[in-house]
Amino acid sequence: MASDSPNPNDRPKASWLQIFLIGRNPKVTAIRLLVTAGLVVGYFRWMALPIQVTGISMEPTYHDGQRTSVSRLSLRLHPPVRGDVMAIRTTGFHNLLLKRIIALPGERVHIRRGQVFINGEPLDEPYLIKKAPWNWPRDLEDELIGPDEFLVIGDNRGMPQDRHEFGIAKRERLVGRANR
Amino acid sequence: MSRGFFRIIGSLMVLGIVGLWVLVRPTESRRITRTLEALAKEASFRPGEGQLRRLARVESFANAFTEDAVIHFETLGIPPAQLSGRDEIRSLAGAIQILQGGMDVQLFDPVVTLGPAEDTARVYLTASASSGKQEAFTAQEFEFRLVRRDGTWRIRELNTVKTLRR
Repeated sequence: MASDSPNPNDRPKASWLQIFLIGRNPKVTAIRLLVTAGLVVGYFRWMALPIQVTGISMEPTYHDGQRTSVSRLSLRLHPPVRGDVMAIRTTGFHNLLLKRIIALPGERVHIRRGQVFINGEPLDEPYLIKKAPWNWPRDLEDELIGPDEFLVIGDNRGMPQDRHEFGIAKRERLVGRANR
Repeated sequence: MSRGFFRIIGSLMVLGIVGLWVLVRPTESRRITRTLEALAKEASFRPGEGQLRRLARVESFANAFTEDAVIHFETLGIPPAQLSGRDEIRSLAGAIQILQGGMDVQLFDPVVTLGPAEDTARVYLTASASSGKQEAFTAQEFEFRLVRRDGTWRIRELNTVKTLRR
Protein backbone atom coordinates (compact mmCIF):
# COMPACT_ATOMS: atom_id res chain seq x y z
CA MET A 1 0.00 0.00 0.00
CA ALA A 2 1.45 3.34 -1.02
CA SER A 3 1.63 6.15 1.65
CA ASP A 4 0.26 9.68 0.93
CA SER A 5 2.76 11.44 3.25
CA PRO A 6 5.47 13.37 1.38
CA ASN A 7 8.93 11.87 1.27
CA PRO A 8 11.54 14.25 2.74
CA ASN A 9 13.82 13.37 -0.14
CA ASP A 10 11.24 14.77 -2.56
CA ARG A 11 12.01 18.44 -1.62
CA PRO A 12 12.48 20.70 -4.63
CA LYS A 13 16.10 20.81 -5.70
CA ALA A 14 18.02 24.00 -4.89
CA SER A 15 19.04 26.04 -7.92
CA TRP A 16 22.73 26.50 -8.78
CA LEU A 17 22.42 30.22 -7.94
CA GLN A 18 21.12 29.48 -4.45
CA ILE A 19 23.82 26.87 -3.88
CA PHE A 20 26.46 29.33 -5.12
CA LEU A 21 25.20 32.23 -2.97
CA ILE A 22 24.08 30.64 0.28
CA GLY A 23 24.76 26.89 -0.01
CA ARG A 24 22.29 24.00 0.22
CA ASN A 25 21.23 24.92 3.76
CA PRO A 26 20.82 28.71 4.22
CA LYS A 27 20.65 28.49 8.02
CA VAL A 28 23.93 26.61 8.28
CA THR A 29 25.54 29.04 5.83
CA ALA A 30 24.30 32.03 7.83
CA ILE A 31 25.69 30.59 11.07
CA ARG A 32 29.01 29.80 9.38
CA LEU A 33 29.21 33.35 8.03
CA LEU A 34 28.43 34.91 11.40
CA VAL A 35 30.96 32.73 13.22
CA THR A 36 33.67 33.43 10.61
CA ALA A 37 32.97 37.18 10.65
CA GLY A 38 33.03 37.17 14.45
CA LEU A 39 36.33 35.30 14.53
CA VAL A 40 37.95 37.61 11.96
CA VAL A 41 36.73 40.81 13.66
CA GLY A 42 37.63 39.45 17.09
CA TYR A 43 41.11 38.38 15.96
CA PHE A 44 42.00 41.73 14.41
CA ARG A 45 40.31 43.78 17.14
CA TRP A 46 41.46 42.04 20.29
CA MET A 47 44.37 39.82 19.32
CA ALA A 48 46.59 41.06 16.49
CA LEU A 49 46.81 44.16 14.34
CA PRO A 50 48.71 43.93 11.05
CA ILE A 51 50.97 46.96 10.59
CA GLN A 52 53.54 48.31 8.17
CA VAL A 53 56.50 50.20 9.59
CA THR A 54 57.07 53.69 8.18
CA GLY A 55 60.25 55.62 8.92
CA ILE A 56 63.62 54.82 10.45
CA SER A 57 63.16 55.60 14.13
CA MET A 58 63.14 51.89 15.10
CA GLU A 59 66.21 50.90 13.05
CA PRO A 60 67.92 48.42 13.28
CA THR A 61 65.13 46.41 14.97
CA TYR A 62 62.44 47.35 12.45
CA HIS A 63 63.03 48.69 8.96
CA ASP A 64 61.13 51.18 6.84
CA GLY A 65 58.43 49.30 4.92
CA GLN A 66 58.65 46.14 7.06
CA ARG A 67 55.36 44.35 7.69
CA THR A 68 54.66 42.91 11.10
CA SER A 69 51.86 42.65 13.63
CA VAL A 70 50.98 43.99 17.04
CA SER A 71 49.80 41.52 19.64
CA ARG A 72 46.97 43.05 21.63
CA LEU A 73 46.29 39.84 23.51
CA SER A 74 49.86 39.74 24.83
CA LEU A 75 49.41 43.20 26.37
CA ARG A 76 46.16 42.06 28.01
CA LEU A 77 47.83 39.00 29.48
CA HIS A 78 51.15 40.51 30.58
CA PRO A 79 51.81 44.05 31.82
CA PRO A 80 54.34 46.13 29.85
CA VAL A 81 57.95 45.76 30.95
CA ARG A 82 61.17 47.57 30.09
CA GLY A 83 62.46 46.58 26.67
CA ASP A 84 59.05 45.78 25.17
CA VAL A 85 58.43 47.34 21.76
CA MET A 86 54.95 48.80 21.94
CA ALA A 87 52.51 50.23 19.43
CA ILE A 88 51.13 53.52 20.68
CA ARG A 89 47.89 54.86 19.26
CA THR A 90 47.21 58.39 18.12
CA THR A 91 43.52 59.40 17.99
CA GLY A 92 42.78 55.98 16.55
CA PHE A 93 44.42 52.89 15.12
CA HIS A 94 45.19 54.07 11.57
CA ASN A 95 48.51 55.58 12.62
CA LEU A 96 50.50 53.97 15.43
CA LEU A 97 53.89 54.88 16.84
CA LEU A 98 56.31 52.00 17.39
CA LYS A 99 58.63 52.64 20.36
CA ARG A 100 60.53 50.73 23.02
CA ILE A 101 59.68 51.08 26.70
CA ILE A 102 62.69 52.55 28.50
CA ALA A 103 61.33 53.64 31.87
CA LEU A 104 58.42 52.39 33.96
CA PRO A 105 55.93 54.14 36.25
CA GLY A 106 57.52 55.67 39.34
CA GLU A 107 61.07 55.63 37.96
CA ARG A 108 63.35 58.63 37.69
CA VAL A 109 65.06 58.92 34.35
CA HIS A 110 67.42 61.16 32.45
CA ILE A 111 69.63 60.90 29.36
CA ARG A 112 73.16 62.35 29.34
CA ARG A 113 75.28 62.30 26.18
CA GLY A 114 73.12 59.44 24.86
CA GLN A 115 73.30 57.25 27.99
CA VAL A 116 70.00 56.53 29.73
CA PHE A 117 70.03 56.55 33.53
CA ILE A 118 67.20 54.93 35.51
CA ASN A 119 67.08 55.94 39.18
CA GLY A 120 70.71 57.04 38.78
CA GLU A 121 71.93 53.73 37.30
CA PRO A 122 73.08 53.51 33.64
CA LEU A 123 70.77 51.35 31.51
CA ASP A 124 72.29 48.62 29.35
CA GLU A 125 70.70 48.74 25.89
CA PRO A 126 72.09 45.94 23.71
CA TYR A 127 69.60 46.69 20.90
CA LEU A 128 71.30 50.04 20.13
CA ILE A 129 73.99 50.36 17.48
CA LYS A 130 74.86 54.02 17.82
CA LYS A 131 74.17 56.65 20.45
CA ALA A 132 74.08 60.30 19.47
CA PRO A 133 74.81 62.67 22.39
CA TRP A 134 71.19 63.19 23.45
CA ASN A 135 70.40 65.11 26.61
CA TRP A 136 66.97 64.89 28.19
CA PRO A 137 65.29 66.56 29.99
CA ARG A 138 66.77 69.86 28.91
CA ASP A 139 66.87 71.22 32.47
CA LEU A 140 69.27 68.39 33.45
CA GLU A 141 66.92 67.24 36.25
CA ASP A 142 65.58 63.69 36.60
CA GLU A 143 62.11 63.20 35.09
CA LEU A 144 59.71 61.31 37.33
CA ILE A 145 57.51 58.93 35.31
CA GLY A 146 53.89 59.12 36.48
CA PRO A 147 51.86 56.19 37.83
CA ASP A 148 50.23 55.30 34.48
CA GLU A 149 53.03 56.42 32.21
CA PHE A 150 56.01 54.98 30.36
CA LEU A 151 59.03 56.62 28.73
CA VAL A 152 59.22 55.30 25.17
CA ILE A 153 62.03 55.85 22.65
CA GLY A 154 62.87 54.39 19.25
CA ASP A 155 65.98 52.23 18.76
CA ASN A 156 67.60 54.57 16.25
CA ARG A 157 69.50 56.70 18.76
CA GLY A 158 71.98 57.73 16.09
CA MET A 159 69.35 60.17 14.84
CA PRO A 160 69.48 63.80 15.95
CA GLN A 161 67.37 64.17 19.08
CA ASP A 162 65.14 66.88 17.61
CA ARG A 163 64.24 64.64 14.64
CA HIS A 164 63.24 61.67 16.78
CA GLU A 165 59.79 61.44 18.33
CA PHE A 166 60.06 60.12 21.86
CA GLY A 167 58.59 60.94 25.24
CA ILE A 168 56.14 59.83 27.86
CA ALA A 169 53.11 57.79 26.82
CA LYS A 170 50.01 57.22 28.90
CA ARG A 171 49.15 53.57 29.63
CA GLU A 172 45.79 53.99 27.87
CA ARG A 173 47.61 54.74 24.60
CA LEU A 174 49.49 51.43 24.52
CA VAL A 175 47.84 49.20 21.93
CA GLY A 176 49.97 46.07 22.04
CA ARG A 177 53.39 44.47 21.73
CA ALA A 178 55.02 44.47 18.33
CA ASN A 179 56.06 41.07 17.01
CA ARG A 180 59.36 40.60 15.15
CA MET B 1 14.15 28.90 -5.05
CA SER B 2 13.17 28.17 -1.45
CA ARG B 3 11.40 30.58 0.89
CA GLY B 4 14.44 30.48 3.19
CA PHE B 5 16.56 31.90 0.39
CA PHE B 6 14.20 34.85 -0.13
CA ARG B 7 13.95 35.40 3.62
CA ILE B 8 17.73 35.66 3.93
CA ILE B 9 18.04 37.95 0.90
CA GLY B 10 15.20 40.14 2.30
CA SER B 11 16.82 40.31 5.75
CA LEU B 12 20.18 41.23 4.22
CA MET B 13 18.53 44.01 2.19
CA VAL B 14 16.77 45.43 5.27
CA LEU B 15 20.04 45.25 7.22
CA GLY B 16 21.84 46.98 4.34
CA ILE B 17 19.29 49.81 4.18
CA VAL B 18 19.38 50.33 7.97
CA GLY B 19 23.20 50.24 7.91
CA LEU B 20 23.32 52.74 5.06
CA TRP B 21 20.97 55.08 6.91
CA VAL B 22 23.07 54.86 10.07
CA LEU B 23 26.17 55.62 7.99
CA VAL B 24 24.89 58.54 5.94
CA ARG B 25 22.15 60.19 8.04
CA PRO B 26 23.09 63.83 8.61
CA THR B 27 24.29 64.70 12.11
CA GLU B 28 26.32 67.68 13.30
CA SER B 29 29.30 65.40 13.95
CA ARG B 30 29.10 64.15 10.38
CA ARG B 31 28.83 67.70 9.01
CA ILE B 32 31.95 68.67 10.95
CA THR B 33 33.83 65.61 9.71
CA ARG B 34 32.82 66.48 6.14
CA THR B 35 33.99 70.08 6.64
CA LEU B 36 37.39 68.84 7.79
CA GLU B 37 37.65 66.32 4.98
CA ALA B 38 36.94 69.13 2.53
CA LEU B 39 39.67 71.17 4.21
CA ALA B 40 42.17 68.33 3.73
CA LYS B 41 41.13 68.11 0.10
CA GLU B 42 41.68 71.83 -0.39
CA ALA B 43 45.07 71.60 1.33
CA SER B 44 46.11 68.83 -1.08
CA PHE B 45 47.16 69.61 -4.63
CA ARG B 46 48.92 67.96 -7.53
CA PRO B 47 52.04 69.33 -9.20
CA GLY B 48 51.31 71.29 -12.35
CA GLU B 49 47.84 72.48 -11.31
CA GLY B 50 46.66 75.71 -12.94
CA GLN B 51 47.13 79.04 -11.15
CA LEU B 52 43.39 79.76 -11.02
CA ARG B 53 42.64 76.38 -9.50
CA ARG B 54 45.33 76.98 -6.86
CA LEU B 55 43.95 80.42 -6.01
CA ALA B 56 40.47 78.96 -5.66
CA ARG B 57 41.89 76.30 -3.35
CA VAL B 58 43.64 78.87 -1.17
CA GLU B 59 40.45 80.92 -0.88
CA SER B 60 38.35 77.89 -0.04
CA PHE B 61 40.95 76.73 2.50
CA ALA B 62 41.04 80.13 4.22
CA ASN B 63 37.24 80.35 4.27
CA ALA B 64 37.09 77.21 6.40
CA PHE B 65 38.47 79.37 9.24
CA THR B 66 36.81 82.22 11.15
CA GLU B 67 38.13 85.76 10.62
CA ASP B 68 39.88 85.64 14.01
CA ALA B 69 41.11 82.05 13.79
CA VAL B 70 44.39 81.07 15.44
CA ILE B 71 46.74 78.24 14.46
CA HIS B 72 49.48 76.95 16.76
CA PHE B 73 51.70 74.51 14.92
CA GLU B 74 54.58 72.55 16.41
CA THR B 75 55.82 69.27 14.99
CA LEU B 76 59.13 67.42 14.60
CA GLY B 77 61.55 69.00 12.18
CA ILE B 78 59.48 72.16 11.60
CA PRO B 79 59.98 75.31 13.68
CA PRO B 80 56.97 76.20 15.88
CA ALA B 81 54.63 78.67 14.20
CA GLN B 82 51.59 80.71 15.14
CA LEU B 83 49.15 82.26 12.70
CA SER B 84 46.48 84.76 13.70
CA GLY B 85 43.56 85.68 11.49
CA ARG B 86 42.29 84.49 8.16
CA ASP B 87 44.69 86.71 6.18
CA GLU B 88 47.78 85.08 7.67
CA ILE B 89 46.26 81.65 7.08
CA ARG B 90 45.52 82.57 3.47
CA SER B 91 49.13 83.76 3.00
CA LEU B 92 50.54 80.51 4.39
CA ALA B 93 48.20 78.39 2.26
CA GLY B 94 49.31 80.38 -0.78
CA ALA B 95 52.98 79.87 0.09
CA ILE B 96 52.51 76.12 0.48
CA GLN B 97 50.83 75.91 -2.93
CA ILE B 98 54.10 76.77 -4.68
CA LEU B 99 55.70 73.48 -3.51
CA GLN B 100 56.93 71.73 -6.62
CA GLY B 101 55.99 68.18 -5.70
CA GLY B 102 52.38 68.86 -4.77
CA MET B 103 50.93 68.02 -1.39
CA ASP B 104 48.77 65.20 -0.10
CA VAL B 105 46.98 65.70 3.22
CA GLN B 106 45.02 62.88 4.82
CA LEU B 107 42.95 62.82 7.98
CA PHE B 108 42.30 59.79 10.17
CA ASP B 109 40.22 58.80 13.19
CA PRO B 110 38.38 62.05 14.00
CA VAL B 111 36.88 62.20 17.48
CA VAL B 112 34.15 64.86 17.58
CA THR B 113 32.77 66.31 20.80
CA LEU B 114 29.90 68.77 20.46
CA GLY B 115 29.29 71.62 22.90
CA PRO B 116 26.04 71.66 24.92
CA ALA B 117 24.21 73.93 22.43
CA GLU B 118 25.73 72.12 19.44
CA ASP B 119 27.15 75.41 18.16
CA THR B 120 30.72 74.69 19.22
CA ALA B 121 32.76 71.55 18.79
CA ARG B 122 36.15 70.11 19.54
CA VAL B 123 37.70 67.58 17.21
CA TYR B 124 40.81 65.50 17.78
CA LEU B 125 42.21 63.74 14.74
CA THR B 126 45.42 62.43 13.24
CA ALA B 127 46.77 63.83 9.98
CA SER B 128 49.55 63.01 7.62
CA ALA B 129 51.02 65.20 4.92
CA SER B 130 53.51 64.44 2.21
CA SER B 131 55.04 66.51 -0.53
CA GLY B 132 56.15 64.40 -3.47
CA LYS B 133 57.95 61.39 -2.02
CA GLN B 134 58.92 63.25 1.15
CA GLU B 135 56.82 63.01 4.29
CA ALA B 136 56.23 66.46 5.79
CA PHE B 137 54.79 64.78 8.87
CA THR B 138 53.11 61.49 9.63
CA ALA B 139 50.73 60.71 12.43
CA GLN B 140 50.53 64.23 13.79
CA GLU B 141 47.60 64.74 16.13
CA PHE B 142 45.58 67.95 15.95
CA GLU B 143 42.91 69.63 18.01
CA PHE B 144 40.34 71.64 16.08
CA ARG B 145 37.97 74.02 17.86
CA LEU B 146 35.05 74.87 15.67
CA VAL B 147 32.13 77.23 15.90
CA ARG B 148 28.87 77.17 13.94
CA ARG B 149 27.93 80.52 12.46
CA ASP B 150 24.92 80.92 10.16
CA GLY B 151 24.64 77.17 9.89
CA THR B 152 28.25 76.74 8.73
CA TRP B 153 30.98 75.17 10.81
CA ARG B 154 34.24 77.14 10.78
CA ILE B 155 37.54 76.52 12.53
CA ARG B 156 38.29 79.02 15.29
CA GLU B 157 41.44 77.39 16.65
CA LEU B 158 43.82 74.71 15.43
CA ASN B 159 46.53 73.25 17.66
CA THR B 160 49.02 70.44 17.27
CA VAL B 161 48.78 67.80 19.99
CA LYS B 162 51.80 65.85 21.16
CA THR B 163 51.19 62.10 21.25
CA LEU B 164 54.19 61.71 23.53
CA ARG B 165 54.80 64.23 26.31
CA ARG B 166 58.34 65.47 26.79
